[in-house]
Amino acid sequence: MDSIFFYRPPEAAVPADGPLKGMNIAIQPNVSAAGWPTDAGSNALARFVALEDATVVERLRQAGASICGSTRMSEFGFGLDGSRAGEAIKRNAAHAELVLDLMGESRLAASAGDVCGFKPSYGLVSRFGLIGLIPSMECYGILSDSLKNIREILKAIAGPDERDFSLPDETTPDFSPQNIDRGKTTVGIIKEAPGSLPARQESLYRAAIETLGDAGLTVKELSLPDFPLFLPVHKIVGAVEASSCTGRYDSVRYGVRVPGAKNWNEMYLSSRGAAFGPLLKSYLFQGTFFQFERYDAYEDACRIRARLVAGMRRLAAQADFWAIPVERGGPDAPASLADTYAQFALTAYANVAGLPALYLPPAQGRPHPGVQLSGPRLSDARLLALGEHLLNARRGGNA
Amino acid sequence: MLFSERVFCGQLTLGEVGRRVLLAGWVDAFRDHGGLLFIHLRDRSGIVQIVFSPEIAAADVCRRAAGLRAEYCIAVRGEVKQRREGTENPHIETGSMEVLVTELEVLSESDALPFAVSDKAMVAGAPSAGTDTVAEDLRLQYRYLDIRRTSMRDNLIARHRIFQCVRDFLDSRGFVEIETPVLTMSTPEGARDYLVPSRVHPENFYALPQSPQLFKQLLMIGGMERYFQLARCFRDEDLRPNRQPEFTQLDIEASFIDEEFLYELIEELTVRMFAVGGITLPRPFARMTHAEAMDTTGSDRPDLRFGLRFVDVTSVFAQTRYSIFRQILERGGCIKGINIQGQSGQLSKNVLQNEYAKEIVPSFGAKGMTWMRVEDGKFESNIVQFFSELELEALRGKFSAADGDVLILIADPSHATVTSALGQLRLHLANRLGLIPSNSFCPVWITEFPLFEATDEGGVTSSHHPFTAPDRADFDPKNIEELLSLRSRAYDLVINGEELGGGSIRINDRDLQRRIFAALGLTEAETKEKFGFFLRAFDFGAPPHGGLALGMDRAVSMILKTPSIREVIAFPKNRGAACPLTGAPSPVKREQLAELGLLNLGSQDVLPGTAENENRIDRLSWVSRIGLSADERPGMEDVLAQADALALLAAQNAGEGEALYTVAPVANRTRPGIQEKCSPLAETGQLLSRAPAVKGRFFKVASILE
Amino acid sequence: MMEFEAVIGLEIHVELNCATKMFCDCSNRPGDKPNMNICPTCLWFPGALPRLSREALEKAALLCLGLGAELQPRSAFDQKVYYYPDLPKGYQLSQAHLPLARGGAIDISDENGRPRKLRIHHIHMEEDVAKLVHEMEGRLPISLVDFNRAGAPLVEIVTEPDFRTPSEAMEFLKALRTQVRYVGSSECSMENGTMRVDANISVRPKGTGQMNTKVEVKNMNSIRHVGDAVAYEINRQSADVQAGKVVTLHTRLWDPDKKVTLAMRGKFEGPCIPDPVVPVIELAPEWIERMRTRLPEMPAARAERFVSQHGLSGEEAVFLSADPEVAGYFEALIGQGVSPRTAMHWLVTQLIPAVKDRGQELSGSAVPPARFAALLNMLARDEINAHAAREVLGQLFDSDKAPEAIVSALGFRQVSDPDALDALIDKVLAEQPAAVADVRAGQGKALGFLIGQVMQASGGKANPKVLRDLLAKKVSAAS
Repeated sequence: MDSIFFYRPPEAAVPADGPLKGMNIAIQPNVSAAGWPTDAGSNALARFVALEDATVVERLRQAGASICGSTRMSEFGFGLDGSRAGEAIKRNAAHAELVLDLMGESRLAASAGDVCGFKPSYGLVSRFGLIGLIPSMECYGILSDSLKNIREILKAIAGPDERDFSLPDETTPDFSPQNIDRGKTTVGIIKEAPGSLPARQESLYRAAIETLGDAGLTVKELSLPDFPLFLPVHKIVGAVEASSCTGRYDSVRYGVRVPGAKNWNEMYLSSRGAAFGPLLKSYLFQGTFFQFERYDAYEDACRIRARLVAGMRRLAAQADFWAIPVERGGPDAPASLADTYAQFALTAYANVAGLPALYLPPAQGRPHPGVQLSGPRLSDARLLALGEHLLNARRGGNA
Repeated sequence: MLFSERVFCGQLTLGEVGRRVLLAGWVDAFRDHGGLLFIHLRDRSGIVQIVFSPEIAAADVCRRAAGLRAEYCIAVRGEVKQRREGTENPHIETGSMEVLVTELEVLSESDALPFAVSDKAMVAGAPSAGTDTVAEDLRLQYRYLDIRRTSMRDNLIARHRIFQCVRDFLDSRGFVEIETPVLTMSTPEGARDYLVPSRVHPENFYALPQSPQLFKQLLMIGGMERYFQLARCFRDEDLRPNRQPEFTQLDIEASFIDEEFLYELIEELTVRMFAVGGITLPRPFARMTHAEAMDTTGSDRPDLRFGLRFVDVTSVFAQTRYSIFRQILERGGCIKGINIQGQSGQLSKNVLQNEYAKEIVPSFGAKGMTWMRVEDGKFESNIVQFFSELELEALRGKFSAADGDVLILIADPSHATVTSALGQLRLHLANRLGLIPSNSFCPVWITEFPLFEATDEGGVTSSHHPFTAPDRADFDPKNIEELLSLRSRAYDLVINGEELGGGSIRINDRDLQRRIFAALGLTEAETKEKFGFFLRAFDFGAPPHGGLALGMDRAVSMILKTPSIREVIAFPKNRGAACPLTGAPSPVKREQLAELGLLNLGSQDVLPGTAENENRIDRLSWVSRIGLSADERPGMEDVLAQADALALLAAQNAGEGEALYTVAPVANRTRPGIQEKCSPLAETGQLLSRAPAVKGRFFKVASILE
Repeated sequence: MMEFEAVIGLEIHVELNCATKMFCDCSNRPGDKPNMNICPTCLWFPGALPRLSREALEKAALLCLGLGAELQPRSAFDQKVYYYPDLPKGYQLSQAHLPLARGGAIDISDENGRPRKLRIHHIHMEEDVAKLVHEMEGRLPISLVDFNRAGAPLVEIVTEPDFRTPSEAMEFLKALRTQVRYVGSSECSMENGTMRVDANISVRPKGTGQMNTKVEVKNMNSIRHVGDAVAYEINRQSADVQAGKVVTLHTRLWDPDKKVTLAMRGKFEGPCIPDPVVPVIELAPEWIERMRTRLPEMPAARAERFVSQHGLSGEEAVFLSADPEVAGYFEALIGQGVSPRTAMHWLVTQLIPAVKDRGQELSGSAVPPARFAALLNMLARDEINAHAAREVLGQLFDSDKAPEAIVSALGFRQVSDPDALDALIDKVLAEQPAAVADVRAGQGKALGFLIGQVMQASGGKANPKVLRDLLAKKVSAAS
């Protein structure tokens, strides 16, 4: 069990009364909980102990949940190398887990663990106390085998926070259960999305899509020719933001300092050199390259990003939701940056555009890899309702 | 002339009066009394007066004698005669006799001299020439002439006597003198090595030994049990007045012994060495721990011939309202002082304020000092007004201050600055006030040195060398605090503020040695690379052993009371580490360098970000301050090639639209900003507690050059 | 010999006098005990987020308006990336792409008294960095960091390269200082580091329009030093160019002791990336207008009004309006019925020096306008003479009694009653027949002597004007 958990508190505080009472929720060591070791999976913060509670921790506890520990994670949550996300639920050590979603980690981990994984809209949940990496894209993902749990957790943690000014002034969606009308709800399939899938995978994806029709949804083909640009935009913007975001790990105020430097330049070079693992270092080098030598490429990527966001908004006029293929199974610890990104080719879009996305595992015995559903920004509650509708349909229920 | 008949000038006695003798040597000085010629003839043994008289010597001999000049090398034959009463010269050994010459042979003439060699006056009571006014470099350039002088000659002979005494004594105790190599391997520790290029192995170097440390320990593992060597050692260090790039060290190592064995051995040895110079050292030698020495004298080689010990008064000012002290204590500093008892007559307000506070103490590295004179039971100073009665009373008690005393306090954020400045001040005052008794010798063993010193970045480094045994073995090599509290089994012998030598009991346990390396942050691979051959030897039954090395040049200089160690070395380097006699060190021909493979060496070692044709990876590593190890480097080429491709792709697809930096833009979110709040995390110090290094209330970082 | 002219631009950092730092609630008092005014945000601990101060935004906006700059409808923060131990996150939050305001200008007179308009290119907000202390630890040099100043709110004013002479730079800075003090956004003291100036200087042959390689000069800590440093640098560069040397882009430090600039290592400019976290600033026209109403009358306008409304000379008006406190005090005196000339004269020659002598500030001094006006009004009503007024002013600082009470207590009230004076005059005339004769013989000097005698007899309290008239009448009448 300890191979799953990075830290478990010796005794959990007595939970408050609330909607999440009795629920054990695991977090990752990049979420600040005062007094907990919080290394964000990086040597840069080895032995760092958080000083304050993150907003999500505070709100989950207020809602009656018990934070039962933090699970092992990849360095700063980038990719899934070293992460044990989803396993605490499988082993019945937690009812739900919060997993940082930078480019699809929560959804991919859910697919590997055969549980539901939900990434909320960007800007719905306060990032105060989150040790993030890509501020304009990062999001807490929620894993659980119950969509009701996910809804209740999201309800507890979403909403304005005086400590996070980057949360937009938007009305928090209404999370009460909603009905999905059979025959009146359309799910779009983006023609260009499966582009990267191998032939066999694509046929499995088609099989998954059929289950949507079975549930009384209208399936419609849509087109977004720019869709393949989501991944390169994520790569450029993500690398630049990660490079800025890790600038603070300089071993002056906290963190680990490599001894023996004769001057501060050496101190920075050696300490920051030892702070980051090989994968992250590659990423930061790309980010530095864009920052210092190809700022034009970063601006170009941000222009494309604007177009992509607008494009998704146009699709929202043509369908209520989208179904996006998802690749099945956990990663085999890819070593390189390119391999890591390749895993997230079909999930990064939601982070680039700030959209909610839901991974539903396949019904038992089905060969297909499950389905990834997404919708316009702030359609979170309806997306979760759609998920519940599909699960009910699977159980033969009638919505 | 037959030199086999030669007798020594300085050894003539009245017993030889009336005998005809053959003498040979140099013309030291001469005096012409109108045909009667007196000459001081000098050889190594001393001086005798020879006389050329036309009444005794043939006219031809007298004529040739008149042509003699200082430092001609001559041989003469003549009769020993007692001098007439009233003409004796008490300043030379043979002053009561002279030799009346009948034969003269000029063996070798001398050019005009660059400086006078003679330092014995011919006339009783007359001042001798001396060499005080001769530039030292000139003396060194003509060192062979300088050595003809009595004082240099005596020094070199006395040095030989002391060395001989060492050899005899150690031989009697069962020590064996063994030579170790002079061409050896460069080690990264300690001072810089002198390197000797190998022609046979181009671009490879021998190093001259800084000490035979490794070899003498290998001799112990080799079962020699007791070894010594009068070894020449070499260190390429920065210039200091009394330092030589090569020096002679008495190197001793013994097995199956402890500290007490060495203390006894070295005390006996030192007493005998000093006895050669007529000095009686008190026994047993005093002992003082390193901590005590630093705390009370500011030096790890304290001069104990006088008092002026430090008193720590930091606690007295813990609550002071004197802002200078308060700020210093807030920065983690300390305050120490000395009581100069009964010297207020010598140290006026003016001297204290204008000389010491403004000039002298700042030159010792402290920012300032505080002084107080005790008069009529009251403290008198320009700052007394800032101290509370309580503080003044506490000071009086701590210093046992009485009328006529002068207190000097130094406060600084850096403890090292306080002890160092106060230590220099202590010596300065002792000299100025004549508190150092002449002809007194106070030997002391300094013990219990810290095993490690803290490095700037929170690690540790060996104070002595990594083979020194710690005082206990049950330490946690990762616990820096604990490591810094460890003492070593090292000891230094200090006399009158000069370190004569030092040594230690060594580690002979493999596991302990490994943990010491771990504490130093050295990996298995690094230790193997640095000390591989040496550590391998410890895998074969190393005996417990220890030893010490004494600086012989310094010891001889102290015994003979010479102003510099160059006075006891035949051919020393000057203060600039050069030899005025031979011109060493000197440039060599390019061909010679080429043959040794020394052209174009090392040109690839440039700092990142400084070279013009630096590569992209170095540049990015530099601007992001993320160091790369050699094995991380190759992969980065691919990573940057991918970034190039991404940039191209982005440019091709960017279009002309607006850029978007966040998908959910927020505008004008502000907080009022009119109510300041003190973070509780700052008040409790928790924010500082996460830092790798702090000093007082500051975050501490490696120095910022510029 | 070729004649050169200089092209000078200034970059001025002004520390805003806000209660808190730019992005957190820590106190904006850099001088406190080291590392007391710090929190997870200004130390940029993991998980901390910046929260912009409204006060900083408003004070920056007021400053921009005060300098005539145009607040931009949309401005945003960027990350200026570089690594240094005084910068806690590897980048400084600054506004590089979209500054808070653009344009603006300050009018000054050049050395020949001709008006010059010196333009501002833009004004942006940014956060300050930490303070470094360097010291030795044994033989090891180390640096210590105090983050009290880290995150303090700054604006940077970047001028156009409009300046041609050191004096223009100095005049600009003086005027800028006055205007910023007026709007109350900063104390703007170079000595205390709340205004810091970097000067960019290049030279070109006079009359050409070339823009040559510039050199940046830093480390001046008074306006006078800026003038000296710019002058030195112009000479240095002119001599170099004359000698055929090429000027290279670099930074130099002013050494105030040696009065020279010294080259420091090449300057490194990091890239500026739009910050995705700090909300953008969108200023609506109404908001800007609301700010404008908070703007006080600016010094130039005030000086003009002083001339037209109170009849001061131009020079007097500029002097009084330069310091908002002085100008305010002046107007308060007038409000209390003091005549403008008396108010100006007594304020400038008596009260301000007296306040300075006592190390006080005009605003918080023991002599508020009402008390001072009461004193000056007694003077105007001839109840006391100038000598007494000066005496009483001294007392006002040490006592909280009303000026009238002090005058009475000290018996300073002036004697203007002709009956009372008559007696004294008669006595003096009787004692001094010779002087009386001299006056009658037409010697004016003797009249002065007699006035002095009567004044002495009155204990200094006689009203000199009344006395002179009476005396003159009496002497001539008696003839």
